[in-house]
Amino acid sequence: MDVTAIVFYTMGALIVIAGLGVSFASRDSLVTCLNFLVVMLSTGVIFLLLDAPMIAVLQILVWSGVTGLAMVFAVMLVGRDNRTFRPAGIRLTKIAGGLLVVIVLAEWLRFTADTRSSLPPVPPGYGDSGGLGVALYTDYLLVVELVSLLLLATLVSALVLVDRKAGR
Amino acid sequence: MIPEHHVIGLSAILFAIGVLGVLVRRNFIGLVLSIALTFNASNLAFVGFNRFWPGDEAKLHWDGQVFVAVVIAVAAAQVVMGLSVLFSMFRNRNGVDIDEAGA
Amino acid sequence: MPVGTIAGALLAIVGVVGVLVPLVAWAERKQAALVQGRLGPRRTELAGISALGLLQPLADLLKILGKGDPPLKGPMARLRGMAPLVALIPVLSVIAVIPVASTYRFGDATLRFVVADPAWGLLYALVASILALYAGVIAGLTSSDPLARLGALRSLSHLFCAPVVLGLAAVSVFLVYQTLALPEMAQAQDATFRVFGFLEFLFGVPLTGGLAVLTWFTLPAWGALLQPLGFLLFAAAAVVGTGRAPFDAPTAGPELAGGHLREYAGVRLGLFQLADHVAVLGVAGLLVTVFLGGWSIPWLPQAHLVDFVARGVGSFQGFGSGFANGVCVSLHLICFAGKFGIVLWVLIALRGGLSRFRSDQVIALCWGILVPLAFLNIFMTAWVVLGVTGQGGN
Repeated sequence: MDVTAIVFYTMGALIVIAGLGVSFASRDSLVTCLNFLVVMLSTGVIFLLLDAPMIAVLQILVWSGVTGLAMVFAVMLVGRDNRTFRPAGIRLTKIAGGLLVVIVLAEWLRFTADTRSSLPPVPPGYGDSGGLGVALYTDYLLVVELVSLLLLATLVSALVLVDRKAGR
Repeated sequence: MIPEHHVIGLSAILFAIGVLGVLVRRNFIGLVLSIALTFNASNLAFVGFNRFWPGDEAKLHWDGQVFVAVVIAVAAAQVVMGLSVLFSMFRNRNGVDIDEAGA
Repeated sequence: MPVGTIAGALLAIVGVVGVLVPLVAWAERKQAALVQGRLGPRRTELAGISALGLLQPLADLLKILGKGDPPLKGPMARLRGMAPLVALIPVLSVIAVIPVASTYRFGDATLRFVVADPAWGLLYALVASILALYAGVIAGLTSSDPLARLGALRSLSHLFCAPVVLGLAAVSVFLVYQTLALPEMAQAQDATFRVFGFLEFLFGVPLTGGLAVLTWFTLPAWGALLQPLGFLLFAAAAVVGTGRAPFDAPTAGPELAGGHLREYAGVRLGLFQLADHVAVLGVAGLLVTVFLGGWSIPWLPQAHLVDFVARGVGSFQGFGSGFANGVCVSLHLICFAGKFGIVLWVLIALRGGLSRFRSDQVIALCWGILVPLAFLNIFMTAWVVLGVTGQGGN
């Protein structure tokens, strides 16, 4: 077992524990946010191990810099009490959600049965910021433009929603 | 070395946790963060698969990483929208219980 | 992991925490005294030598260790205890990516003066600075004290400003150097550029005849000279990010009585102060490396220097190359230390020299002035870089 494997399994354990904290820890919204942060940071480290450094930096920058902050801000606004759970009754959404979980886990088992190899060697140039940038602005230009349009729409609609005079 | 199916397994478990969180959470913040967990799980799978099929020197594959970049951007937009909805919800009814928001 | 890297990391940590931080603490006291017309600390003595009060940080340390540290209670106690470490660890890790000198070859061995050299070094520093800011938020939000929570709210609002400007400034820097690795950035600045080269760029004709005189005027290719606006933006945003005066509204003494630091004492407060000082060191190191040429000596590139010394000494002694490299190392280290000291002093002097910005003023400054300027800078830089590289050669 080499260093990468040790780091990977440590981070994996952290992700699962902190992920459970996000979804089921009932005490406090702030704790939920910080657990979420731990999940995102550990995922970033795993991305580093998987030779995707730019994605790792993007992950940590956006999730912890934007999402985490926005959520901490929301916690400040609405208070830290997070004890409310949904009532125990069975609804259609719950059945559908449960089914989704089962399907995903079954897919994984199927995948595991087929593929049991470790990762192939990295070809030179894989994971470079330059290569990713070129891919983004040549083959995937349309997607990038669509995302930028979406972000613009989000900006405008968020302003409209929050502005007292424009809203209502 | 890291076995590929362990990466995908981690992603599947994280996805399951996120979906279950969406199902049981009633608080707005927990809900949004649980949805973000499922996004993150799919990102993990994308990066893992891209690393598993990296292409060769002549033609490197970037599809998975590009997908992750797009997902991260969209998720950031989603969270900003969620926050502004939360703002107006909080202002209008002084509470963020999502089951009561529709009433 | 090679032994050299671990030794270097330990040396960096010990050097920063043991030597530089006390020096910064002392300089802050002396500078404040200078501004306020006092003498500052001068009574600490060891064997009758006071040495301008240089031992004052030691006394401060003893005082902090001697103070009682009230045990944290309540449901959030563990989080509150973690907050000082959340503040310290990221800023300490930024030190690892700052190169204090170049790369040198001694025969087969290569000597490098940077602990870690990731290809995305600048972004790493950015990420770490964001993570460090969470400490104030955690410390304030877990407190039940209204002033502490107000402090957390303020640091949160600064968090929504500073990293944006930092990131946009980093984009234009990236455009100029075409790399995000800090050692490569410093290397790129170990050169000169022609001051009137922009005339060629604007008019599209080479300077010949009488105008050739103009090509003699060269300046070191430092980031601050190539990117003056980017330098100012980066410096301003970095100071906002450290939460120091004049942007210390979150911990403002007269208004909030310490903000999120209010309920900390003893060792934990000491850790917060340590993080503050290390953050200043990190910002100074980044500014020097990215914008002020790092270790490079103006008008004297490394290759020329080594060549020069080797030719001067090697003619009558056998060990020319190694000796020349040694001279080069020490000159580069001295050069880095000099620049570092000046930037550090400016950062410290800012503290006493400016009045505090209100939080809303910080937000207005960042989003109203700095962000549009940063975008302008990016577009201008992209235009110029495209023009220069389009004509072939930088």
